[in-house]
Amino acid sequence: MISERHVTLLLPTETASAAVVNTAVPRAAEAFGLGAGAALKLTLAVEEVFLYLLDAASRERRMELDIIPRPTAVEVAFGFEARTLDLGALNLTAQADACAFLEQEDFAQVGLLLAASAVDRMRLEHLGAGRMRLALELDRDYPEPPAPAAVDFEPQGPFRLELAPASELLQEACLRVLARHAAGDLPRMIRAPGMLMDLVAGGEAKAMVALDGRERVCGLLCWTGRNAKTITFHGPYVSLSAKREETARRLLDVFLQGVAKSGASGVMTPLASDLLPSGEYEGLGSLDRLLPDGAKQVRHAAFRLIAEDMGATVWAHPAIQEFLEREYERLDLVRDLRSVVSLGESRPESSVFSASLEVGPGVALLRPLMEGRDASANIGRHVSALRAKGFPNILFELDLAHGWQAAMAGLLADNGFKPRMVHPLGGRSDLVIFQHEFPVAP
Amino acid sequence: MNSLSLHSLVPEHVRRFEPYTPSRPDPVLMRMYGVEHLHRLNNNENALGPPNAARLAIEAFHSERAAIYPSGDCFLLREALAERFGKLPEQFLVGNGSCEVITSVIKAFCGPGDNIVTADKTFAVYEWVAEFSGFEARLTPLRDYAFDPEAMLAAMDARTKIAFVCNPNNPTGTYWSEAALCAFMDAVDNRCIVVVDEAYLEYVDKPDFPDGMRLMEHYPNLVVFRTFSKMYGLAALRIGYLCASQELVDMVRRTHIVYSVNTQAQAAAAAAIADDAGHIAATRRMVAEGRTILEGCFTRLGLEFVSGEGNYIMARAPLSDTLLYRKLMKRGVMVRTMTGFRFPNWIRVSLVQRPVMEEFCQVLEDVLGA
Repeated sequence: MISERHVTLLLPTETASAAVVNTAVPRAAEAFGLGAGAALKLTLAVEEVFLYLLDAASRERRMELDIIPRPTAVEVAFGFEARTLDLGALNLTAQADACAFLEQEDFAQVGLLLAASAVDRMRLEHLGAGRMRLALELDRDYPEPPAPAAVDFEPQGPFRLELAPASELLQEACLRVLARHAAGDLPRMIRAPGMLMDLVAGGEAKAMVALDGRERVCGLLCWTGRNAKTITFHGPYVSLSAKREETARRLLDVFLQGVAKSGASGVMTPLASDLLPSGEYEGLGSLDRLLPDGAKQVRHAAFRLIAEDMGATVWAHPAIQEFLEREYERLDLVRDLRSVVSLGESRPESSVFSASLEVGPGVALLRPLMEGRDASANIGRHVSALRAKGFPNILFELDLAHGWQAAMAGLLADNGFKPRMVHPLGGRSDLVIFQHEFPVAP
Repeated sequence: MNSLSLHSLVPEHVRRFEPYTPSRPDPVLMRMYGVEHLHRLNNNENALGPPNAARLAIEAFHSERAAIYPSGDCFLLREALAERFGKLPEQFLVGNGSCEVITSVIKAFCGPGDNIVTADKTFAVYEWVAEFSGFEARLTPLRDYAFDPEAMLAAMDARTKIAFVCNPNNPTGTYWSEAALCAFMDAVDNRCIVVVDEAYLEYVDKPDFPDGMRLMEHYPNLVVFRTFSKMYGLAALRIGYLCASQELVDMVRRTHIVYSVNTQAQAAAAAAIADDAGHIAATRRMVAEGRTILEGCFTRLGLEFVSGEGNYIMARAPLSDTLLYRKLMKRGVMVRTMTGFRFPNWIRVSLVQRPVMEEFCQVLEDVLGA
C-alpha cells in the first residue's frame, strides 16, 4: 500500500524532466529518513533508470514517479507504458558486462547496471495493456548491536502479553533474544532491532512481548505481511529456562487469534522454532545453509493455514511435476497441476531477475522479474557472479501462479538447482523454492 | 483518458478489508478432493430439511410466478409471524437472511465515530458488517466460553449504539439465562440498542432460557433476531427476521432493502411456522442423539470439547484445524475450522443423523490414529 505521505510526479517523457527528478528525489528521500549519502545514491540510480526508460516509454503518456516512504526504506517507482523493453542491464550479473557496454559505447546500459547495483531491491510489475511499474528500494542503515549477556530468572506471578510494545520494550526483547541465539539463526529485523522498531511503528510488522508478573521480558514473537496471503512470523523466542513451552504456547495462540480474521490464508516461519507445538504446524521442508566457517546448517520451515483450503490450479513444468505431486500429497493440499513448457514462443531478448542479498550469512535469493530468451544463460551468469562474490547459499523462487515462471523450472534444473520446498500461497499462488548445489561438498 | 485509480475512489476502511471467500459448491469440492460423497457438517444446517408444510409450499411454486415481484415487505409472512408470536405485523422486518437485518440495524443506528460491542469469539457477521461500514467493533473476550456481561458493559461508551449478544452463542453453545439477560438490560438502561440473536433458539429446551419476544415488552431497546436457516431448514432460500417495538422497527425499515426476500422463501417460511411442532421435536431428537455420539467419540479420543445448546459441538484437535479439515475432506467429511473464530485448532461439527455421526467418528478416529 502506498503511504498517504508519498510524493507523485507526473513527468513529460523528455530529457528535461531529469532535472525535476534530480531535485525532487533527494529532498523527498531525506525527508523520508534516508541519510544524505543514501539519498544521493538513490537519486543517481533513479536518474539513470529514468533516462533509460525515456527511450522505451510511450511519448504520448507522461511517466509517473512515486517517491514512497517505507518504514525502513525509501521506494521510488516508475509507472510507464512501453511495448518492448530490454531491462537486461538491471540484472546483478550485468556488472560483468560493463566493459562490453563501454566498448560498445552503450552508456545507457552502463547507467542501468549502476542503478541496479546501488539499490537493495527491485520489483517489476506488468499492469496490463503495456503499462508497467518498476520500483527501486533503498534501505536505511541499521547497526547490529553486540549480543548482550544472557539474563535468566524464574518468572514471577501471572505473565501477560504486551500486544503493542513500546519501542524500548521491543528493543529490550530483541537484545534478550540476541543473547540467547546465534545471530545466524535470527532474521535481520531482530539482529538489527532498530529495523523491527521502525517496521512496527510503520505498521509493516507486528510484535508481542511476554512479560512476567514483575514486567520482565520473557519472550518475543513478531510477524510481517499485512495484506499478504501468507503472514511470515519469527519465533516464538523465549529467553528463559523456565516455563518455555507455556510462554511459547501463549505467544502462538494470541498470534493466531490476532491474525485469524486478517484475511491471510496462512502463516509461515522460515526458521521453525523448536518451541512450535508438534502437529500444529506442518513442516514445509528444509534448506541447507553453508556458514562462513564451512559448517552446514539445516533450516526447517513450517507453516499452517488459517483458512480452509480452497484448492488451486498451479502451473507445473515436467522437471518438477513429480516433486510437486509428492509434496502436495504429503501436505494434503488439493492442487490441479497444469503442465507448462516453453515451446519456442516469442519472448523478449533479455530476462531480468531480482536478487535479494544477505551479505553476512552469504544468502542470495533470486526471483524472476521478466522472462527472456537468455534465461538459462542468465541463471548461469547469476550463479557464477554470486559465487565470485562469496555467496555459497543461492536460492531461486518461482511463483506457480505464472506459467512463464513455472516454465523456468527446467532451466533451473539444467543449471544445478534442486526444488527443496513448496510454500503454499506464499506468493500469488504457491511458491517453489530451489536451492543451488553447494560448490564444494560441505 | 485518465487511468482508473481505485485507491483514490475506495474508502480506507474498505481498502483494508479482506473479502470473505465462501466454500466452493459441493460438486467442485468433491472433484477437488477426489471423493464420491460429502457430508456437510460445517454450516449447522438441519439435515432433516424443512418441515413438511414448507416443502409443500416450495413445491407449489409455479415457474410462471417467477416473473412477478415478491411482496416487497413480506406482508403475509409478517402477518403470520404476528399471529404466531402475539405481536403486530409492524413489529417484524424480514430480510435476506439474518446478515441483511444485521446490516439494516447497523445502518439505522450507527454514524461516523460510533461503535458496536460484541464478543471476540462469536458469529462474525456483527463485527464484519460494522467494520466494512466504517464503524468500530469492540470485541470483548468470552468468559468460560460465554458472553461476559461485565466486559461488554465496560466496553460501552457514549458512542456505543448497539450491543450484539448471540444467545445461544455460536460456536460455543453457551447462553445467558433470563435472569442474566434481564440484569444486562437493566445495566444498559436504554443507553443503546441490544440485539439478541436467537438463531438457534428452537434447539434450546431449557426452562431458564429467555424468550426475547416476551422480554421486549419490558425493554424498548431490545431487538430479537431469528432465522429460518437453522431449525427450519430453509438456508438456501435466505430468510431471517427481526422483531422489536413498532417505533424501533420503523427506524430500521428506513435503511432496509425492500424486495430482497423472494416469493418462494416467504411462502415456505409462513408454512413452516404454521406447522412446526413435529419438525422441531424430530430435529431435537436427532441433535440429542448426535450429541451423545460425538461426546462419546471425543471422550474416547481424549479430545477437549464444548457441548452446549444448538446443533453443533466444538472440539479441540491435537493438530492444526486446517490440516484436520483437509484430511477429513479427503474422506468425504466437511467440518468448520475454528481458527477464523479465533479458536485455533478447534473444529465445529454439526449434529445430524446417526449414520453420518458414526461415519464422522470413524473417519476422525482413523485420521487421528494415522
